[in-house]
Amino acid sequence: MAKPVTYFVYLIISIALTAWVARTLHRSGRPFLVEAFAGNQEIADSVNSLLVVGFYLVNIGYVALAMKTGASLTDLAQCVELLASKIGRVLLVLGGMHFFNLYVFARIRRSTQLTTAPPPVRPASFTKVSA
Amino acid sequence: MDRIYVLYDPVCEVCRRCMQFLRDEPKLVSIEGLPRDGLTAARLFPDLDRSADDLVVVSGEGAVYSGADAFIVCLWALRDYRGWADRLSRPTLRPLARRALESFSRHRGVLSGFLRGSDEELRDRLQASEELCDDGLCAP
Repeated sequence: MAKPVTYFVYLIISIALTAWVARTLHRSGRPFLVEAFAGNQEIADSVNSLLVVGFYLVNIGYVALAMKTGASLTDLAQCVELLASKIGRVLLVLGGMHFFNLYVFARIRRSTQLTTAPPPVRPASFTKVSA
Repeated sequence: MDRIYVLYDPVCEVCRRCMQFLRDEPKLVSIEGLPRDGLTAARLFPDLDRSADDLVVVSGEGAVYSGADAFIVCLWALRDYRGWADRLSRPTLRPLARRALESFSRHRGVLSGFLRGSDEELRDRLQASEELCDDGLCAP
């Protein structure tokens, strides 16, 4: 009986954590994306939703694959230890995904900034241009 | 800045090919190549000193860039190379870009020698020389 309960607690905690990180990403990433897409809110919202969907898929996929254990659970301490190690891994994956998303945001933002950037070097002098 | 003029050495085969490369690539800023000693360049930029044997880029507003800076501005004008222009302009890579361009400039005659040869290229050169004649660069 201990194993199904542990699995259940593991799923609840992992999915709740994933949802919390995804919502934070969705909320805090929006202004970043709006700036990256030069104020185009429609595109920014669309990319934001797509990124969050990808985030959910990867994380819940990992949570599901990492759930199964071969260990026999006989007392509460073993259950808590197993939960801690499994949730610890989920947290590391979430952290990794979160930083990856930040990296993607930063890249998008940088490439947009480059398109409108002035030349990166200063002119040596100025000359008259006759039309 | 929406236009740059690249003043290049028209008798250098490598420079002409680089110019062709600039013309073919997708651009964020329009690029016009002008033979350095031609009439068009002299008419457009009457006050510009064109005696230095260096690549020169002039913006539509009259900002003058030369040598490695001119090369970086050429990259900046190309859509797919703007990131490289940014990287090469940073303190770590800028001396390298400067040395590479100086070395290229010094040896451009030798490099051009490797590229001359086939009849097709001869035809291209003759066509190019007609362009140069139009620009006042023909021998009398």
